[in-house]
Amino acid sequence: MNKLQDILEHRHEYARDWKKRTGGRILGFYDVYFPEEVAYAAGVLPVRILAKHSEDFLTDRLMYGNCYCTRDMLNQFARGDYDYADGIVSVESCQWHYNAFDTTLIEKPELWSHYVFTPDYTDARTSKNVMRSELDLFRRKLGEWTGKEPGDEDLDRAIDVYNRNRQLLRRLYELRKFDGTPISGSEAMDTVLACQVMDKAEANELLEELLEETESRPPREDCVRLMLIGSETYDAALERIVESLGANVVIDDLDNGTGYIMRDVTPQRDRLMAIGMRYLLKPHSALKDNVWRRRPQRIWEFIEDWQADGVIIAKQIYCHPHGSDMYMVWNLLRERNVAFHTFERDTTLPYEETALGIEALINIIKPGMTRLRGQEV
Amino acid sequence: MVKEFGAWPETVWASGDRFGGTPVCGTDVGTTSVQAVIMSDGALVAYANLRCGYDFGEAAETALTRALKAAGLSRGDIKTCRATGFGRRRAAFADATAEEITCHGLGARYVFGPDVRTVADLGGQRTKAIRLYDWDRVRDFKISDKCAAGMGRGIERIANLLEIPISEIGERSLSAEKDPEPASTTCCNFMYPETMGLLRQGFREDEYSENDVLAAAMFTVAWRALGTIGKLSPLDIGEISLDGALGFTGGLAKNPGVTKRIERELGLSALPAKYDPRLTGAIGAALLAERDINPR
Amino acid sequence: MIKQRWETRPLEIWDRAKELRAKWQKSIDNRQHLLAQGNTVESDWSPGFEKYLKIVEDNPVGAFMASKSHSFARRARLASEVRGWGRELCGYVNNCWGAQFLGRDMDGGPFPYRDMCVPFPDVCDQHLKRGQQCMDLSPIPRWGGDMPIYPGERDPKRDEEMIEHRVYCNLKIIADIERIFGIEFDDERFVENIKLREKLSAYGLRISQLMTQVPTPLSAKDLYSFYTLGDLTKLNPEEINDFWKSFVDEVQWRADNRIAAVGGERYRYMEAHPPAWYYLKYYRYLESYGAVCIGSQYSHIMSGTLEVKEDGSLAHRDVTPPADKPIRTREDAVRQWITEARGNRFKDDEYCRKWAITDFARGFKADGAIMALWRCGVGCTLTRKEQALRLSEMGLRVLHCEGSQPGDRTDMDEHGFLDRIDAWMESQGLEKLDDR
Repeated sequence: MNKLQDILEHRHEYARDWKKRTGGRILGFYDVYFPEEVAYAAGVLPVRILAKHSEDFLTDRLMYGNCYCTRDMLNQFARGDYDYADGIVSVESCQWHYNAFDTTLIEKPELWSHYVFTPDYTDARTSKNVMRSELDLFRRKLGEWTGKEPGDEDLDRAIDVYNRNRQLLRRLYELRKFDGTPISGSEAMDTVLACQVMDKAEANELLEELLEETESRPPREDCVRLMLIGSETYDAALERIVESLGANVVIDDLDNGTGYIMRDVTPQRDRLMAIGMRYLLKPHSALKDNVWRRRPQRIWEFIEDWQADGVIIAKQIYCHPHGSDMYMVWNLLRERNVAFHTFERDTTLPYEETALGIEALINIIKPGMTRLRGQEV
Repeated sequence: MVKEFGAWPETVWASGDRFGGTPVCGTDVGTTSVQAVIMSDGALVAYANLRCGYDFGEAAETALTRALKAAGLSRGDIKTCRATGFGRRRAAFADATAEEITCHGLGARYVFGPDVRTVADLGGQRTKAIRLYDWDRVRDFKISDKCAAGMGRGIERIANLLEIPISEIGERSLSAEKDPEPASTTCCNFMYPETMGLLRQGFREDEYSENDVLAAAMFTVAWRALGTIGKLSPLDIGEISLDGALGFTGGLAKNPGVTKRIERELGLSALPAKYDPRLTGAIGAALLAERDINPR
Repeated sequence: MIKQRWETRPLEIWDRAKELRAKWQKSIDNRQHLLAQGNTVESDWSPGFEKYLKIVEDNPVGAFMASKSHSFARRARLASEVRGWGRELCGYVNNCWGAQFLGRDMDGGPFPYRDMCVPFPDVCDQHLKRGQQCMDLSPIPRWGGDMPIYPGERDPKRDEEMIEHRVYCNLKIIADIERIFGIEFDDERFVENIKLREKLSAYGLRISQLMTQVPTPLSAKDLYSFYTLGDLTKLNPEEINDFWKSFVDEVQWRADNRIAAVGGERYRYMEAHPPAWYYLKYYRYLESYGAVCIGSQYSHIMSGTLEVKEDGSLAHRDVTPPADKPIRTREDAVRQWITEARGNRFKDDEYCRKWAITDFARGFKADGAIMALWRCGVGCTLTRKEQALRLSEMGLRVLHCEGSQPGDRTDMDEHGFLDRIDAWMESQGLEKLDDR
């Protein structure tokens, strides 16, 4: 396990320790459209709220029909897992996220909160102005909260740290483009997730170390290279199942993966506009790719660039945006004769149920890769 | 003891023919039933089929023992064995496992002949739809959604509820004049209370006969299975259409109340099975086992 | 025999409503126009293209299918499902677009494929992705847009850029449609529609206010035959104006003369959002207990956003009035129409005005509430449990029922639902009137 994976596993301890060390404030956020740079510039640590599988604490009383992720986000706040968070912030993304944010504030009214409206229609001339205006408001609100409004220098520093982080993560992804990739899909996903729950400056140091160490690793022998598409993921459990079957996830089209690391902030005099543009132009989620359909082309480019043999589409049950994109993705994959397997994820990821389809996909691509006894996990 | 209506009779069969070659075994350890087949040089020698219970390992052992006995063989005569199915990893005697999609694909060509292009495995827990190339490779497959499970199990519950043997309910459901709206088509757990509601209404107001209630339940299962099978259809405008001949496998393949309704919706007749279609997975596993000892 | 407490009689305007509805249906079926997939309520500019273009929303199409033909709707949903669309998606969407995938409409005729897609601001995630099926089917012209939201009090400063965004997007759509399809936009007709909308909102408010009276002169079930006429089904403005004027007059007369929608009214309940369109029978069943449905925040949509004022009266929420200046340009007209950045009542009522649900209960003198929990879709069920808790706290008895979605009967256990209603009524000491 690398150091970043360790931090991901002990993320709450890390956050408490960060707070003790720095005396800073922590802001929980729900979605990768949250412009972390602005909060970071204000000296606040943005920490991604990651769902996990835990017993239902109170959500059944307050929610119905939500995906398990947003139920668990509420659960974790109610249970006190995020007792170190001083505030929460949401953006215009999926409504279950908003629901988790909104209901958490009913349960925990003492939390500072803010909502950033990130346009769903990202392409209009005026979308940029709305985004900038929302970031400006957020900056001012942060100033009122922390006592110091982040200025241009603070924003520059944050942009540098965040761009550096994205660049390092992309370098890690680059290592997965070729046969004999030295890093597994689960380790790569854990690493991206770890960066979402920690101070990026600290993450960058650890990433540099990891890259150096990874580049000297012996190559992996993966029978099949797979791409993972679908709803947001909050851990690398699925990637681990894939690896247990001898295959490897080498690329993804996930909000938490490529959706998080692709596209930097291009510096310009108007820092807020620069940050806003990054979020309007980054690879869009199924929800925001609702007019011009950039996902198919992007998915195809990832398949080609990372030489994926097949695709796993893992849709979270009750994830409506992804439920609405399947037709388009299936059309693309069938047209180009890419083997794929679609399945619904839920709260748990039972091994046998999940492995069946993945194993069958592997066998479509490379028959006879079913595992002999003794080699199975 | 409460009489069980939802279970198929357990069966043991042997060809009785003399056979040469090297016998191998394939076993399909499903959620509701387990099959063990003995094959030799591509010929079916014997099989046993029984209810699974909760101990998949023990059920698999019993099936193998019965099949061996029927074939007049001992454990040592079996060169190798492959296990497939939900409980495949519990079959301690198996030398290797294989996933069900590949096994049903291979087995279907044996059970239905080389014309089969689509296999609909209607199991106790899951529905799996498999599209084959015109050689023995899987082209595409779909597995039922999260909330579409337990359809075979659901039918067993209905048989027990109505106290009609499972072997009869399919035919009886077809005698309903017109299919009523299906009970909830989400999953069998929603279907069951709705079916109970129909019964209550029927007995009170004489609105539904038992056969109508059965028709609603079978229609439900058929409709849900169509949701999985149909995903193999082209994405173009139009009704679901399958490329080439269809074969049903799994326990529900023996239920005409389900299969005829699916055929009706698809506008086709499924291929007749040369062997009990519940054996398809186990046959596929045995064919893989033969390849293990004689790689192509 | 149900005990009669109040005089009741059928509405006289019923036939006119049917005529209007049929006229609208015919205008779509004839295919004399270009068809746009879009949200009619949010496309108030569309009458400017009325000679050439009709906006058809999948909501009413899907709901209509669910209520008229279970079997067709089921088949359509299957067609959608096998093309990868999630079964937990909105039933309206899966019905309407499933029919597109089948290539035919409920009457057996060809499916009216859309020629373009105009935006679906984010009332719910499903609205936002609602044009996806027709856009993914073929490369039709398409436009995007936003319905901004943020929690808390309205912030006029914050709204500025959002309003500019909405104005820009709508002006662009009009200009692009003119350019791409070579059709002329009738600005005068657009302005006329803006004015009509203001009138309709006033008429709607009056209807809502009259329904607060005991006995209510109109039930929610009645209201469902009228509430979309005009706003959703855009027709000749004079005809619509006349219709609503007559409608208000008749309901006023019924209220003045204590003509009840349900003769046995002794219990008033409200609902949350749309009912099960395929099972409206439950309204009649509840009437056998003397229970009348006075509607939901959804069914009173024609009234705009409502709230109870300090004097206890039900009135429009204070909204930003249009600037008091003459309309000289198309942009002036759009600005006259878009005066607020946010203002979608569903989202506002759920997030920004959490008291709206209890206001509604007070305003309409509700004794109880049926809060349906729809497993599929988002907007139809979001915050419903929280709202139910708020209503319970103010003393209303709340009944939850479960199903897939108002346009999808897949999970509706009709017998189970009626059992729940019996228990709900009997636990409040109410027996069926004809049982006593």
